[in-house]
Amino acid sequence: MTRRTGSISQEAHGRTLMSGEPLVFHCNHYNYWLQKTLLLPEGLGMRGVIRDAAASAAHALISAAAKELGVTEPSEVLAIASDCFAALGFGTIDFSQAGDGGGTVRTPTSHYGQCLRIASGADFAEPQELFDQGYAAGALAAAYGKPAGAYAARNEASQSMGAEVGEITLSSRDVPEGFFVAPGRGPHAQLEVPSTHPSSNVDEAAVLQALSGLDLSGNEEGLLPRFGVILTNHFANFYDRVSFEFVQRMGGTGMLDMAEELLVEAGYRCAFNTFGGIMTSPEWDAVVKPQCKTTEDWVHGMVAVINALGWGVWRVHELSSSRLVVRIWDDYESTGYLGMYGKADRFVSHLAAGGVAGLMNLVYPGRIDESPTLDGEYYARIFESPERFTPQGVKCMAAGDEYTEVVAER
Amino acid sequence: MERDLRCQRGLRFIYRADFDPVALADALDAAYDGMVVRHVETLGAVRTERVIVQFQVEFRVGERPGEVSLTHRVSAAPDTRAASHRVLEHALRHLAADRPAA
Repeated sequence: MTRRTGSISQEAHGRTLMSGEPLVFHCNHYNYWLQKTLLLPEGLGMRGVIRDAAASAAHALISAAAKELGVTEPSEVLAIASDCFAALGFGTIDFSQAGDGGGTVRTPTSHYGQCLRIASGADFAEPQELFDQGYAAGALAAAYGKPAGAYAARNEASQSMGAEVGEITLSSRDVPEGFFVAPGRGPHAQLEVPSTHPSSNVDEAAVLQALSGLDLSGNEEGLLPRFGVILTNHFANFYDRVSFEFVQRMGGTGMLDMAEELLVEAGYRCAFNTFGGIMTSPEWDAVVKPQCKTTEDWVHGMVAVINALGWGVWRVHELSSSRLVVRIWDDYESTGYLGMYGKADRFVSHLAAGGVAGLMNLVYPGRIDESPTLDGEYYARIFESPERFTPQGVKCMAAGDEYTEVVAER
Repeated sequence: MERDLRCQRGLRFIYRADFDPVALADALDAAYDGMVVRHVETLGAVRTERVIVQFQVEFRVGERPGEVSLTHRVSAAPDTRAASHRVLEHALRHLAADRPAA
């Protein structure tokens, strides 16, 4: 399967870029839970935010990839857009019925259309393919040399509501004022990252080397089933934009703290499903588990794997059965915030916070080493347990600290 | 056979049996008249035989000793999914019958 995509570059601090756009791995369950959270409060206008964030990130990627490949013909640019969509695990997308004035885009397979439905267990009442809509709009705009916000998009048929194939209608529009522009890679810490914790028996370099040999691109359906979940290699700037706009808009209604708590909760769901899926996977058994001599090594091992996800570099600073301190260099929430909004006046790395506490919940009260079934009952048992860990964001790169620091305690 | 209850619920199934991984991969390959894509994935000391029938199913043989996973493609129709199970179960039975008695 040969695809023409943008160039992949591995940068320091675990960052992965495709044609300058930072990428991070997340699974269908996190994508489902995050979107559910964002759309929960009525009247925030988050559907448009999600769509436009996708359009901007897709436009930046496809414009840069086409330039790299020396492609200017719109049909060829759209072929690159289809290949990128599939390679990153978003599904398959067909632009053959779309042109300069808009038209219809089909998605025979779609992560947001089909895999969120797997996570939720039922059809949705509203289309969930807001990312697909934005991607289609941004790609068409890139193909015709227009700004990212040049097309409006809506689903005429939605797989998340039970349709066999997704259909998105694109139409020209005036670019909305203040349309979001993805900041690309954003700032990058120049600091030296310390080595792994001395108590760890896990060889992080060996773990990263082994994982680098895995094919983590979309299959012929453009989907990426791995570790018992369905992954996307997604735009960091997309996650950052939708999350921070949610916080700002909720803050405007006096619910700032609740917004941040909801994003931490989404981080718990991510940890539970993605980390839990990884720690009960055959891949874990093959590479990490043989190195785990202590319970603490399960934490060190998972942190080593996290460092392959594009989330920045995590380092265990302090670890006991009742407390974990993680320091993170270039966490993607901080770099995205700095690129989009400048210096923050508070902690912004909510996914990381939920992830750190969620990891401890899996390892200690959850006894993930006993291979439990990762279902709703198990989630409730460990994340609502009196023994559960909760996180506190202590330092944040976005707020001017040298690194982001999260403390999880019982 | 065990259904995976995580995010791939309804898509991924684990079968446990006593088989030679390469022989099982060959049997699946033959059952689909060679219309498969095969890969060998090596991770640490583990060698996994991947047998992919595009737009239908992926079999991963030997990820763990005595295990084969069957993961339906998302767009595979119900009758295709049923057929995928039949093919794997037939191959496992066939290999078991061919194995010399201890």
